[in-house]
Amino acid sequence: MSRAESTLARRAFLRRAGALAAAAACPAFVPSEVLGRGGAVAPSERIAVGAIGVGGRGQGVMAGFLASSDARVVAVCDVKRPEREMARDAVDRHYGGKGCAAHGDFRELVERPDIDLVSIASNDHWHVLHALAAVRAGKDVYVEKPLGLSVEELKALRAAVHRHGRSFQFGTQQRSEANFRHACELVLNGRIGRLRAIRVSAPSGAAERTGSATYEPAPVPDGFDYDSWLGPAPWAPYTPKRVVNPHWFHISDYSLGYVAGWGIHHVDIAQWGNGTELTGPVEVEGSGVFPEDDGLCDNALSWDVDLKYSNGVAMSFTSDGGKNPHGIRFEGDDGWVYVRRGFTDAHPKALLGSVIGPDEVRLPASRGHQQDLLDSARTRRPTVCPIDVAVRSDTVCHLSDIAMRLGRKLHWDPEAEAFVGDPDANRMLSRAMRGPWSL
Amino acid sequence: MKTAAHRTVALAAWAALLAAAAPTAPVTSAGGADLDTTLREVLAYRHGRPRQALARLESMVQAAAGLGADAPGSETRGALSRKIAAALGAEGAPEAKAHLLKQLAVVGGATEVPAVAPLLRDEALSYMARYALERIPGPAPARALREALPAVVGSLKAGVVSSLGTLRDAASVAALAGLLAASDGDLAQAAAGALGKIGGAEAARALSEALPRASGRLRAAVGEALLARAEALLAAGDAAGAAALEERLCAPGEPAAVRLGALVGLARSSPERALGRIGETIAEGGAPSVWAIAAARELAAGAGEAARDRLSKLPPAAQAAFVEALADLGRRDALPAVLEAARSPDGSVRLAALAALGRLGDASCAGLLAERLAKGEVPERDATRAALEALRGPGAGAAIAGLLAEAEPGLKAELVRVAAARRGADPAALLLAAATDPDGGVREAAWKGLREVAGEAQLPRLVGLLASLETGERGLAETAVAAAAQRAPKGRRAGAVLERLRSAKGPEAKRSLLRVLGALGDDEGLPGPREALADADAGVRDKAARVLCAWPAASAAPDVLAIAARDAAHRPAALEGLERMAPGLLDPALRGEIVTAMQRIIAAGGDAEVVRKADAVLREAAKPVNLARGATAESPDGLEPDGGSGPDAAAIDGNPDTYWDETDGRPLYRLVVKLPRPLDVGWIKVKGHAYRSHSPKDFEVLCDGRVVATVRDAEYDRATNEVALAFPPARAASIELRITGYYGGSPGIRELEIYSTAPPGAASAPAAAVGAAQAAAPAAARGGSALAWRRAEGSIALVSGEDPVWALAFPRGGLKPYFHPVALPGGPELTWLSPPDHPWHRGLWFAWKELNGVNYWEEDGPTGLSQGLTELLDAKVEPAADFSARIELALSYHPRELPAVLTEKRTLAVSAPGPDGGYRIDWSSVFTAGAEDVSLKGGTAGGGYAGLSVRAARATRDWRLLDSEGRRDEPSGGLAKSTHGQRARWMALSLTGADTGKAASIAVLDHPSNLRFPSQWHNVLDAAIPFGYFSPAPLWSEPYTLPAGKDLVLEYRILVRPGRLEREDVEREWKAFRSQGRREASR
Repeated sequence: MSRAESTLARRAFLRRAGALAAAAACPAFVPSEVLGRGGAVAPSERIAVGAIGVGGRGQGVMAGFLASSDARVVAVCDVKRPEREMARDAVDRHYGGKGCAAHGDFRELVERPDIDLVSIASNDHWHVLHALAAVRAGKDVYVEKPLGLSVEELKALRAAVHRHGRSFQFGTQQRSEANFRHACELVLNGRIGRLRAIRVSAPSGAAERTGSATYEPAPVPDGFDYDSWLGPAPWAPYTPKRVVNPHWFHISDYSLGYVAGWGIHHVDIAQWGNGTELTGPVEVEGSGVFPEDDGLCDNALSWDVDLKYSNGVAMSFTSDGGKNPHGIRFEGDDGWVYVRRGFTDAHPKALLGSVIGPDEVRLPASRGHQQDLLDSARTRRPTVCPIDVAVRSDTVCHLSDIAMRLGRKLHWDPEAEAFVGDPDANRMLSRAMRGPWSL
Repeated sequence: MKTAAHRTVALAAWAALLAAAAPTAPVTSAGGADLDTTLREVLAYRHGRPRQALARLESMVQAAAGLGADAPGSETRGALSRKIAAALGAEGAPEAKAHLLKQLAVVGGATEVPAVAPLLRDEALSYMARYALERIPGPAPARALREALPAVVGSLKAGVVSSLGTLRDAASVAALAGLLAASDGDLAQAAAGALGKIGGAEAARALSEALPRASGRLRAAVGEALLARAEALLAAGDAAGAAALEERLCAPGEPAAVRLGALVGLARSSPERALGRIGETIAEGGAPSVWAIAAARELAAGAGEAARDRLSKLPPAAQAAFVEALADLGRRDALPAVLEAARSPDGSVRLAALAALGRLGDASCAGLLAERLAKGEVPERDATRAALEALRGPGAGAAIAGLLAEAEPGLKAELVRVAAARRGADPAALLLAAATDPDGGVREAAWKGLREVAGEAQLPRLVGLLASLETGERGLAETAVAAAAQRAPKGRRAGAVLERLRSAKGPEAKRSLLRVLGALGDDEGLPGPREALADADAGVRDKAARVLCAWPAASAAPDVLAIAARDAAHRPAALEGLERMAPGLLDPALRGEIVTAMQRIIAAGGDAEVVRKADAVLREAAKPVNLARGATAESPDGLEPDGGSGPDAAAIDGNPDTYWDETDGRPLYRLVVKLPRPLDVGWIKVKGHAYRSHSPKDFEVLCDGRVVATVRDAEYDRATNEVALAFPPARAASIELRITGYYGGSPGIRELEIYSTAPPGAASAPAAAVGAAQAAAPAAARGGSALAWRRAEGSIALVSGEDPVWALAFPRGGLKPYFHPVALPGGPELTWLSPPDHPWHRGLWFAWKELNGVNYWEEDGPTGLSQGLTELLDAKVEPAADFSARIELALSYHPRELPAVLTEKRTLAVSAPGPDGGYRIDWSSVFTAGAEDVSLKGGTAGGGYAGLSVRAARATRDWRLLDSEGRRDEPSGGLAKSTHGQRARWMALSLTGADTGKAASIAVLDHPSNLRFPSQWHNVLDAAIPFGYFSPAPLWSEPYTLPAGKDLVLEYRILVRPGRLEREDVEREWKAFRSQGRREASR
């Protein structure tokens, strides 16, 4: 574990659920440039936010910043003109007036000195490049999940975030929901005895794929900077299904597919509850079903992966909702805890009402996923899903993808972040980028 | 999934082949095609064409890689790589060769590099050549890139430079250094990035020399590379070298982000120098002062014993961040620094230090904190209290208890609050002692604390204290006792209170204990108020009567009936109690007594309000009651539950979504319902699993083991799949069905209801076997078929011939009411109930998302219950002869097993279908907050969804959304592009029935008096799932708090029309709706 990580490990365990502490402590020492006095934030002192990638999901993420009186969205950026104009208009309508700028080139946005924080919800293959540019320009960042297309990308972003002392929030918003936190606290405090197994299942999104064998090239629509959309990915002719959400999730040049795109949500909670959020599994083996009939899509349509951790915990991660219930089920010697959005169950039932005591492990609480980053931007305290945690959770998805592609058991060294004695598998941890883009 | 290959299976077969093959043997895929054929097909590939050959080659390659480098078959792997490399020279489109290069990235070796290297100069393939070269092991790829560098031109050059950086090629440093001065900005930046990755002194020198000359993006890139160099120096143990470089990069002329990175780095490499820099940076003001905070936190990470010294050298603006970070990092070794900060003259530093003490401190800090708690001002006192509450470690609780014993009254009350909030080992003993303190403030704090922490163990002592109380905390003490009793297991809650009531002397104490019993409402305590009705003291008698009348359970009904009959003073309260209790009364005899008593009261006349109330009770008591609801069910036939069957109780749980079913094809099935005691029975109603499918057909009904009816070929109602059956009245404690014949494979039962008189809607004359409740009205020629009402317990439907026009379900047991289907006579259906993607979507329905943080939206699959329940309290259904209907629903929103936080009176007025079959639903909901403020919050995925919602039917197509502002949407995958999140007065969805081809529309109109009118809408149109949904979402932009006791009124009109609604149609209707004004006056 690196120094920064061991630091974070302690933070994660020692930081108290502290809306009160945050509320009491923030206004006291944050400079007035950032935070207004007396609780109300003056418009001129709000944290200025720029949003890159403002399609459906991007506008959803942006809405979290619009909803906070601590933030003011001042610019949006998208390679699709209709989307960025729609987002700009939505921002202007929200605040009243015409103050929001619409950029087509993300570099213009991140270089603006008046922007403090950048929210990124572009396509997966752009996440890390956009985040790197923002961090290297000194901005705090919110990055929609999943994090990157290769483990090398994740590590490059982690180094840059630490280098510049930036606040980082990963878009695994389940960490900001109380029922997930409570479930993990129950597990970490031994309420189900020694943890033995974690069962995770997430949707595969397979039905979103058209399954066509052929896709006809089409003229690039007016107002769409297609080459910039492709960015670091190989050049390919435009066809609508290549770029439409959620179809592009199933194309390996732009995404790892749902194994990361959806899986990351529950994997991240599994890592949290397992107490392994700053390390990872040591063994991974699995299989996947890949399309062969599709002229575009080549990511897994379903998967079934087994992972082992050095603490002896076995994790089953699958898209098969019949094998594991959708969500995360922690199984211990004395009971189990099951959690998904809006629902927690446990055995024995009494665990559901179990209160975490003052001397027990308490996980950090968040006032909302975007708000948590805004709080961190002021206090410089870590978010609920900081970069070190994000990299480790995302890595689990990468390991799963690589294992099912290679079809054999792989041994992972979480300390070195490399496969053990396996140069072939290690070749899968990076991929070059189309110029001029690079990490 | 016939064309998807299971990768592992294919890989395993192919790997076995590879392992077995001689190096010269033709390589064959699992699919049978050999490598040569596959490569030929790959070379013929074009963008957007079928990818089978590509996938096949990929499988072969991954199988080869999957073997591992040293596994048997690695020679074949060499042959595979060579053939792929050779194919690069053949005819083929760039995309075909790009795929080959991708494969070489996985299995290629030094042998293949010569075939790849020339492609670096190929505009279309240079990138993919790098893709392969970056992953091929050994020195050959870097050499090839280095040699290609001078010859590669234009935009490709930056790519080659990046790859040299990725491969950390030290031999390229000189060439890359030269490129730092390139006129092409992208190229120069790539060179800076590559030099940063390669590292080393030579690269650093080149970067350092370039820094002063660089500007703009290049300067930032060079700065970034030098920051990486500084990190490398520190990692190699050269802290001084790192610090020197970082100090240079901290200078005001450098790009902001580089300066910040350098300051943070300096805090790691040289804390002493960073301390000075932080002060200077803060003095600059503006954004740099925020960086100083980041750097101060970094300083804290490595502080340890130096923390106190560092603290003193930091400016106050950074001290607080420093202390905060020490606490975040759990640096207990830095406690002296934090204690020092707690004495700082700067308020913000003191505040941060006090909070930090709560997290780092131990028992030894309790005294200091208590002192501050006694003396501090408001923000500091709050922070101190929080710190004391958080203080951990051995002895912390005891230290606080010790301080409490000595404290003067003001501080004592504060410490009592702290002790209660800590909930540590056993605050109850301490609080019990404080509850008799001479000081009123201390006593009040103690009782409030006891209310939060006391439980069964403290109950006897608490009850004793309450009974002997002479001071003014009686109300608080009563709530504390009730709260403690509620925490005891059922059956042990009221005993201690009851016992004390029987021995209590003073009327004050008796009244207190009666109030506690009333608040508990536990039947174990019922003898208390019963006996107290005979108390010598009139005040006690009065309290006893009132407690009985307000008793929450129906078990007090006989007592309340007696009060209503003979006690005129308490009669109004008693009648209210009876009206509330009557629906839960199972005993027909008691119901009969209530009816008789009410008839007497009405006959006696007198106070009009009393007569009105008596009439309401009479109506309620005269209704047929399903006796199965208070019963238990079992199936003693030894058969296993089948398929989606619930437990045996699913047959009588009042929820038709769950059912009882067992293994198919058996000769005898038994279902026995045991009533709590012998009751008069005469009717049953059976709702089968589905019409003429998996439902009982031939069966006997037995009362206490005696056959009372035999049914052959039971005839179910087509719409409700129910059959009602009368048999000779009997008094029985068990009712059994013995089923010997069934439709389909087995006799599934969704609901078995038992009545003493005709069930709701059934013909009143007993018959051997009758069809289900059906009040067929005179035929009306609309849509070609006769309209009729279909009614059942918990539902009403208007049917046209056999097809429902609309149906409303209003189940009990915490499930949400909903309309489904909403249709037109002759089709199509417009709504979808419980689609697989969101099973909690219920046709046309209303649901809150979060009330006080509890989720009322999503439902648990098996039970259909949400975390918070939407509970039906009462339903009044008035179908009219003209086929209009008025429905009133009383609903309560509450977390499971907790009191209501919000109640709702919902009035639904459904118009009769017009000549075209269209109709409207006027929807009015009056929400009333309970005793506390209610925080209403929507969902977040793309907006705060919650409220009235429509889910479009699966079997429809051509979805179009149109709103009052003229925006239009068609399915685009996901959220509706134009209308989602926008404000509009109305929203109309038109669609076409997939089977009938008939177009229809459903519109929702927002009333101007509604919260945040015009509403924002949460709209989804995704034909692929399919997912069509729209909803006026008043919480879309922000949550809303409804103050305690206040009302929130929401009124909507829903239009259902054939054809596609146009703007003017809905606009006209909206104006008419607006001009109606609010129908439900706000209270």
